[in-house]
Amino acid sequence: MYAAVETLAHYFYPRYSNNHKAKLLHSSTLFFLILVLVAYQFLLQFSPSWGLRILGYASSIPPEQVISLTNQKRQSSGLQPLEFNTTLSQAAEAKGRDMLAKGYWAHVAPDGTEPWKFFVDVGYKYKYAGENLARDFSNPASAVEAWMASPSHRENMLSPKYKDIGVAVVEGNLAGVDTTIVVQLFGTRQAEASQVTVAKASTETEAQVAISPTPQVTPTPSKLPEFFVQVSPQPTPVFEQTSSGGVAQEQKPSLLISPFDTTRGVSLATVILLLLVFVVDAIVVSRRKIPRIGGRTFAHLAFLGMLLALVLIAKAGKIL
Amino acid sequence: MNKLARDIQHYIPLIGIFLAGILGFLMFSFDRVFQATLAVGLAVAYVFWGLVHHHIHKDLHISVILEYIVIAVLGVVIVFSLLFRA
Repeated sequence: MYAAVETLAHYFYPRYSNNHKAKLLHSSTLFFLILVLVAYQFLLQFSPSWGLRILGYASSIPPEQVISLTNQKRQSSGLQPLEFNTTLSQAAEAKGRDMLAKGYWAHVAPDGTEPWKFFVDVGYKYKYAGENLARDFSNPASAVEAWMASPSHRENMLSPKYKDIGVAVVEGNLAGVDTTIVVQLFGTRQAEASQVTVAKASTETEAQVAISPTPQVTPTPSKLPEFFVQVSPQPTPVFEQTSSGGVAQEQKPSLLISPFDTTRGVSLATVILLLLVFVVDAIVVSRRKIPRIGGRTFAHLAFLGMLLALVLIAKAGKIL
Repeated sequence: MNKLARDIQHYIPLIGIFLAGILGFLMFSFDRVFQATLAVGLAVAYVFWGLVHHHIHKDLHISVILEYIVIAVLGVVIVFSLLFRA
């Protein structure tokens, strides 16, 4: 017991045994801490290949909410809501499956397959088309907000040239990590596009740019779709019928450990521990008037405080 | 505390850099590359501040430089691990 207290004091409290500076704050210990954090990341990265299925994201992203939130953003910007299109959702599902099957996270597959192929494959003859991708978000609102924060994705969501939307949420193993991918496709059929006043057009292959000079505002809420695609390659998916009778939605597996959440937890614990030890160190050294050569504690506290803020700001999920 | 008040003109720019970093991290939450670059930039600025500050006070030693570098690298590792996992 006494030895344990001595060891703790040695690591966390300035005293004679650690040259009046908590051992945790010595450069050698901090360097060791860096190695531990890096090793922890390697452990998280390679544990799936060792058969330890401890990774995964427990997410709940109903596609209908993604569409609803998207239409809310459009309406608040004075744009017409997008119509749910089952064909586009099938194309989105095909894109999601393709990403999982080929193990890529990109708009264009490694074999050169472009997003527009999936539109054509399901028979959606587009005049304008767009694609937003998101992965590893824990809820639909955070995914939509992330898209809105990105100028290019925001442009897709708030473009008056699009009439239809299709969304698929696909779960599976992407490059060794359990992942939830949201594929959001936008489009306007060729016949519909002829009714849109085109002010400007580019020659881009994937999507011709059209700007309607007088976007109309509609006060009516967007019509909720009757069918959504949500697929998972998990071995035993369970589907349930909803009250509407048309929506098939997979029941989520039991909670899995999220690499992001565990990393954030470890990061928070590390930074807070260092902050506390630095504060204790500063108080003790100041009271005892211990002269020593070292960095400025206030500067270190400021840096760690900023680091704490960055850790708290960081959000799970990537968009493309 | 007296030291802190005496060097306040040194600490204000440091705090300003860190606040700007937090703001940039928030505003460019959609751009991981920018966030990663920002994290490295902040770490470098922190080490550079330490060098200048201790040089002015004529107490710049290798152990001091190492201390700033190790803490800066720790910060970068933590931010990168979060960005990589996000």
